[in-house]
Amino acid sequence: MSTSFDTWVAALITLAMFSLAIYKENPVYRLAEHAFIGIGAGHAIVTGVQVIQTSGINPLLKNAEYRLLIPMFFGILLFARYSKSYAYLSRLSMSLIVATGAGLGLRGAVQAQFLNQISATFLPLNSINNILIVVGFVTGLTYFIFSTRYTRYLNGKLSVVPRIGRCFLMIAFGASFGNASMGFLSMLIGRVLFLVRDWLGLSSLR
Amino acid sequence: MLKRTLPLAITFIVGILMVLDYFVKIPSLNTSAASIRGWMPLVTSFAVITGTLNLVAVHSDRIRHRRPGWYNSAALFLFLAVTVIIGLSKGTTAPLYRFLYDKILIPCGSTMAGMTAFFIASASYRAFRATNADSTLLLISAALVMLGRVPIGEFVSNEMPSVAQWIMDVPNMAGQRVFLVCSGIGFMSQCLRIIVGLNRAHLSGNE
Repeated sequence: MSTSFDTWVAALITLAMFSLAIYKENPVYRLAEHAFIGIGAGHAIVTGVQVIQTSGINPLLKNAEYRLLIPMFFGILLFARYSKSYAYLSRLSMSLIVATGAGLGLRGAVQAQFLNQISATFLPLNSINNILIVVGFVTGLTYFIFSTRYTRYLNGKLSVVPRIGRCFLMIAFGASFGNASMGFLSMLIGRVLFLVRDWLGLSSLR
Repeated sequence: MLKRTLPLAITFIVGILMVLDYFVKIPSLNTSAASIRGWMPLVTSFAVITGTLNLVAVHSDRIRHRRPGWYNSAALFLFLAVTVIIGLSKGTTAPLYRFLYDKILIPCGSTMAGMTAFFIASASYRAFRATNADSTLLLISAALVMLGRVPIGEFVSNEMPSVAQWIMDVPNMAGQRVFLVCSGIGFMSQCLRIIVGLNRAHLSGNE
């Protein structure tokens, strides 16, 4: 068994978190959860202050970069939400943040989620795999056409198209689920391995 | 004016500027967009601090009124205060800060993520019932991918890892691209609604 204080603390906090899965929500778990939130929030504050210092205050004072007063002003306006009379001023900063996010998101989505995906899908139909990818993509998209009841044409024979798409979507859901399960399971194995190997010293597994 | 019009104007101008920056090459426009992008870490750092202050306000209220579990809030304050004081006075490389980060924050985070496996196991028990063709497909693809990712899969059949990889590379990829394109269309429409002021959720409250 480990004699390191650090390992003991990490092991006990791990056991405290595991207690939720073994037993229902309990005081030990809640304490560990609040410690996690406290340190996480503290870390966020420290990181935030460091960014303000290095990207805002230092260039402003040392290099006289006065244009940085604008983002600093918008940042400080966010604290106006704590004043009942001037809370609306924080909306100016929120607008700047949300608009930048929306603008960058919009142009990013056009390229990454739309054009790139379409150009990567339409492969030469020279192999079974390529044909399956193209067919799966096109039929999968037809499943999400809600603006018109196109399946009624050709005496309802078109309804087979979104059904094929749904099969591909189900396979994708299953594969994603299986993949995610294995990812989370490997994290769980990592924590159990830490307890068994590093804390209890029962295994030499690497 | 300050309550509605100016925030909407900022949203529109900045949003359009960011979009135009991508499609149009006008030096002054590109420079302005780059400046605003460069401001974001600074402004969002203030936002992070504001969010944390909200957390402090909620928990100080719980302590002041001795609500159930107030001692957990006191523990949260203690850990928050120690982290902030050590982090700001001695830096993030100080031994005590590293201890809090490496021995409490990281184990807690990875254990929480790992515990999701328990909940996924119980969710899969409900989801993986082969009641119709769709759920059978879901079950088969998930089972094959899971088997292909563990050593026992190779023990069952040497082909298991390649089958899992084929599912990931071919039918899964087609499905994932459908999700990406469809969610991309939804995301783009939401972004457009925000920029033109049809979606004003970020301006609500604080009347």
